[in-house]
Amino acid sequence: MRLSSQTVAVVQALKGNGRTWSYGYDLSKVTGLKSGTLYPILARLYDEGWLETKWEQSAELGRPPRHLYRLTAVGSLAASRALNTAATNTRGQRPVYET
Amino acid sequence: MRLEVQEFLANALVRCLNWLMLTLLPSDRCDWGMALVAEQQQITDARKRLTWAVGGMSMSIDEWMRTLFSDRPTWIAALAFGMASAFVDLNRSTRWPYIAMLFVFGMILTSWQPKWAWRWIALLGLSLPAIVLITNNWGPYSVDRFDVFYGLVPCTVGALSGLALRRASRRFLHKPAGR
Repeated sequence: MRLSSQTVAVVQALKGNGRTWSYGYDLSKVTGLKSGTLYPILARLYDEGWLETKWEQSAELGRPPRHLYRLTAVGSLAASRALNTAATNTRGQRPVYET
Repeated sequence: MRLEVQEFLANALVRCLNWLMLTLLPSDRCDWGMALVAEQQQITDARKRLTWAVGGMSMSIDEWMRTLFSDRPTWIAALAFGMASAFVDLNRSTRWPYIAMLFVFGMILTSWQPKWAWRWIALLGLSLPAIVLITNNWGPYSVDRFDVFYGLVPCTVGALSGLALRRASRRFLHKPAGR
């Protein structure tokens, strides 16, 4: 899978949270990505098997359940490799990473 | 008062965008749309909520376009079939071969790829008008130019037949044993 710099940012944020579940809005705040960029990335990571998701019932009445995300074991491994590649990439190169 | 009106309008716009996003999203991506809407509830600022909804809309349009232009082989086949049918129609004195071709091609394409079958209907049925417009050679359609669109009818009937055929064959193939 080819990883854009935005995908790397999302993967980094998810990896930083370890096995803790993350919310979409929190990921957006951490990565600085807009919803229109973040959600297609999350969907693609899920399609690739890097991400697991679950719905969480809201504690407040009338609010819809929230979607939570965290990296799978496969995703975590692939993310480590991708982030290593990103780190070794020299400045000035196109920020696209392959795993 | 003015702030309240602004917030009311922003919320109404957000609701419209959410509805449009969920309508446009392909069924396999609907969960992601719902997830995006659920996160909106955590945003207190109306303007940020609107930006979030606009982001959802852009995701939806991207997904819609991706789905629309997927199935490249079917697109190529539909284009080739449409061109061939139009060529036959412009070079024959009778319309029946054109009608028969559109019916059969519509049926084949829809049984092959039933998802968003209107794409194949549009491509098959609008090939003739497109060729006539590009070449500016109206031929038999110079008397009544709107007649050039009649091909959409056999395509639609063919596509519906293709869907019915596909459904019937699946039912027949998945018939439980012992019946």
